Amino acid sequence: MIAVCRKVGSGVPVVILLAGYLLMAGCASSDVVETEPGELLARQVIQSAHCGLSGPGLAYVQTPERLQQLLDLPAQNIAVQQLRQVDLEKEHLLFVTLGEKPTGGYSVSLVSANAENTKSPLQLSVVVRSPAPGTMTTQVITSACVVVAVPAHDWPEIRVSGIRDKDLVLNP
Amino acid sequence: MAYRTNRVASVLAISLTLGACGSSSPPDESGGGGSDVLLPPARIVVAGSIDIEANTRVDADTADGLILGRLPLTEPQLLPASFILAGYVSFKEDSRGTSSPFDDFPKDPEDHFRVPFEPGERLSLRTFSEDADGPLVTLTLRRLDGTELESQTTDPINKLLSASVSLPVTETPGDYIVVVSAGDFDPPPVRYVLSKTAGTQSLALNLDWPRHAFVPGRAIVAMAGHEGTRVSASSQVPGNAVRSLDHQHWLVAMPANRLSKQSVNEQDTLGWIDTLRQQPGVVSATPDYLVSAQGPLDEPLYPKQWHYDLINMPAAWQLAPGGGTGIKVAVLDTGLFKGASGWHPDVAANVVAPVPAGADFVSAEFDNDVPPGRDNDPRDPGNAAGNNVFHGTHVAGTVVASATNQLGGTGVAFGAELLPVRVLGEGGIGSSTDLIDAIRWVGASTPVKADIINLSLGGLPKIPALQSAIDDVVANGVIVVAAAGNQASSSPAYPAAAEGVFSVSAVDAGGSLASYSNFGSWIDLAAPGGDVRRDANLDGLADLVISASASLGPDGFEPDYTGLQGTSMAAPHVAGVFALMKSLKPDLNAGTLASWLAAGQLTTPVAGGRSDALGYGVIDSGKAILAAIENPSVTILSASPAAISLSSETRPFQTIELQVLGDQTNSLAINPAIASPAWLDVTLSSVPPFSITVALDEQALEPDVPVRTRLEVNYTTDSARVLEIPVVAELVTDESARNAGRHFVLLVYTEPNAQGQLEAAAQLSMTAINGTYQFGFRLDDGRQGASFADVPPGDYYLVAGTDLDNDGIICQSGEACAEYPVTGMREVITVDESTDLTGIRMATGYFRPTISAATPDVLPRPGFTGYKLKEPHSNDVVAPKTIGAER
Repeated sequence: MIAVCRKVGSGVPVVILLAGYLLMAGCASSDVVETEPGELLARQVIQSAHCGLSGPGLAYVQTPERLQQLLDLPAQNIAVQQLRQVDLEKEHLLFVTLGEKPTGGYSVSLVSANAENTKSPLQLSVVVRSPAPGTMTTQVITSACVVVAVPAHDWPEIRVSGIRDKDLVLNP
Repeated sequence: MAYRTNRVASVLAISLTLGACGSSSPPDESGGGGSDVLLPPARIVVAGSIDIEANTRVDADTADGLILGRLPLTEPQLLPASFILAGYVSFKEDSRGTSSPFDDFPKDPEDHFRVPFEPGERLSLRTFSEDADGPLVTLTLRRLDGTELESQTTDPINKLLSASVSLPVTETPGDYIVVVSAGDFDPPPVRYVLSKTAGTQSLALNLDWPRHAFVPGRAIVAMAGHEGTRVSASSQVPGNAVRSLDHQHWLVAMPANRLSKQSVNEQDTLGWIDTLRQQPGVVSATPDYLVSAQGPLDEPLYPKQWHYDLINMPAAWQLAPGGGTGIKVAVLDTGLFKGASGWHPDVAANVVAPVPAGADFVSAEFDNDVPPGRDNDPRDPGNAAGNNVFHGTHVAGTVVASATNQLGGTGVAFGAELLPVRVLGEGGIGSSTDLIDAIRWVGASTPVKADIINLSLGGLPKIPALQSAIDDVVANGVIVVAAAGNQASSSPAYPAAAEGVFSVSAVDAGGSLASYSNFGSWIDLAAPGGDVRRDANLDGLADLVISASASLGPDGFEPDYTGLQGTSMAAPHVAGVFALMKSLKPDLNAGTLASWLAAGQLTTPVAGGRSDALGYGVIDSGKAILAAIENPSVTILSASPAAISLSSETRPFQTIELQVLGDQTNSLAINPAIASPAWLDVTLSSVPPFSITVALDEQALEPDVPVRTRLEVNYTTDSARVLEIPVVAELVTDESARNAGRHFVLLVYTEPNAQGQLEAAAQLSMTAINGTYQFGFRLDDGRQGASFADVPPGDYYLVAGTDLDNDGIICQSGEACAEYPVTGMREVITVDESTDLTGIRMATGYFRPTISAATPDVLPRPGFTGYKLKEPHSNDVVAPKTIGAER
């Protein structure tokens, strides 16, 4: 899988091959992201085809209680342990959900993340995979999402492109 | 789908318009309710309804109501035995000191309630104030004659914001007066939540624990601090150690002096175990339970598998106790989960051995196993992208999961063999050519590799080569079952719509077509597929189909179980029933099944014979199995309906026909003694036509708490048999009486205003009608005369709530709140010309996701101050005090 990070200002794309899960290490280490030295700007923690959230949107998790709410949804099958291993003191979680879909074959993946600094909006880009018309698929109701960990800053705004025509916007 | 949602929107628009027609005068808070906003005909872009959490009530004289001209109540407000109520008290009236004339608060120093109490029951109060310290609030419990029994006052300075009172055990059950009174303080307004739960939850909890058989005179005992020590060495334990089970647990025998009779009985044993538990040092003492379960009803997850009772599986299993032995079912799907110890343990014993070579048909371009491309291994490798529910394993579990391994749930044809065939690759996607080849591989040559093919897949157009393959296997005696698809469409979906395939639509636990299911003239029959939005069987769980799966554990994927919904889940129910039938009638083929289906021999009847939604109806496995028994030598009783669902509101009693299935020449004797709990009266009509009438004894039921039991009808025909009938019941007392107060429904900007508040861009207000609020927002497309309810294009949160203290902010603690899609997890919705978000369902109430009894001071969102109502322009205002109506 390939992720593209674009250096803000320079416009030069940086292409990073990711092994395991997607890490925005290239973005974080660039000179335009003024987060803590070596801090990742965003990393994909898990994907799931069954997140249980029925609408397209964003859900921000800063506390274990909030995480538990999201893990208590029916029709859900996600890697709970991987989410619980995230230290919410250091990273917050962002659920980017595609909403209910009628079949299998849907997924959401993190592509890139950028931010001028921790006081500026965090812009994430995701890509949605969906079955082409006429494709043979499982006939099970799915609710795909990707869960992204972002540094636990007071982001003024998080914008996510790729789910709908317009950015999804969240003010944590 | 588009047709349905548009229709909902139209109905909502009409109802809202009608509701507004009579509201030229100030709205009546306690009357029939309705919307305050007149909506001229226009396209509604966001609409839906808001349900109210059970037992929710609202103080009848809150600030927003008093501002509208209502007077404080002079008589105590009547409340049920269980409730959660939000209210408002203020020692005096005043302005909040702003320039706005709309946020005054009125005087309402005391609220009085008349509440049914049992001795020992407790009522709790929690207060919320705009001021960090806030005023004192006193909670008092009085007799009807005014005699004070108990009172408690909050102490805000010391952060004690709660109070409670309980009825002394010396008092008699009956109605008592509860008073909430505000102390003199500036600023004085206080919001509060009052709650009480009647009795205990023991009925419901008890039903979660099935009665297991145990060894009389034996117990398993654990001692604290005596690891490794023989328990008989402890004089406190009246028993004789038989043997050590591990370093802490001992199997102990009851001493002879505990016997009430010559032989040990269960009651003596339970009494002895109770004694053991009271001994110092005894950590636990439990009966030595027998692992005696040998039938599908005894599997641990069976109580959650509502889908089997719905299709009368207990009757079918009486007639086909072998569970489809000797029949092979091919599940053409994503493959089968295989962990370190082999196939999923709930289906492992059923997998054909050896699996024929070539069972993985997934071509390289769709494949995600190693090496990519077709091979001999049908295991499901999981998804590279996205977590996996192991769809093929779930489907296979519904068909064949073991009924006797005390693991997970059960399958419809638990005795049948499973041929896992892999045709779907990464993400559950596959190619039609792989499917066609797999179908031919299974059944186009003799001997066939499987008798029945299940296809929980779809989305294909009509393909002649696919039809040809199906024709060939059907001609070879293979029965093909397929999922109708989840597009909520009547367009034929293949392979389900292909000739010769049994097309299965999906129903929920109430037997109604699931919201997502396809329908049309090409549907043959229906089966349970689940619906996450419903709990039609009142078991407290969403109506999902439970079956085998796998989940990610510390060492990779591990066998597990999960609930899913879809026509994918419906099809294997039918495939399983067909397998049971085939085991009893080996020459059963698609032609015979089709004729029986059309004759109504396989399904619960549908009005008119068939419908586009359910085809010839929901499969009734009891009838279907009987049809397959050509010369039945057995006779069984079957209950119709197979499961009983009672409600004091909609169905307080029900008569169940006991149909005699099988050999009608056998004699039949029904034991009239049918054990039932106190809340259920059972009457047996033991002469033909046999029936059972069950009726709720409402006096023995706790209000608004679902209860479950299982009736056992013992009878003798060709042999002694037991018919089990599951029962679920609820004393519903408040569905239409639920009221969370005047609600404002808002589309709020996702970015805060200059004051840091999330403010409404569009706004409706309404009172509850039959326990529900309905709303609809039109698109503000720039025309003249846009109203509060018109929303400009943009991104918003959809929220609703009350403003009990009339401060212009909803969703503060102590006020009702609902957020879309789930309270506490609001999501951004985008409104534009193409938006069609109708049919939204939300739930409102006073609970906050992050506020619990254990952590009452935890805020759901740091710094969150509620949602700001839309300020009216001055020229809109007729009278300042009618702000509630205006807003």
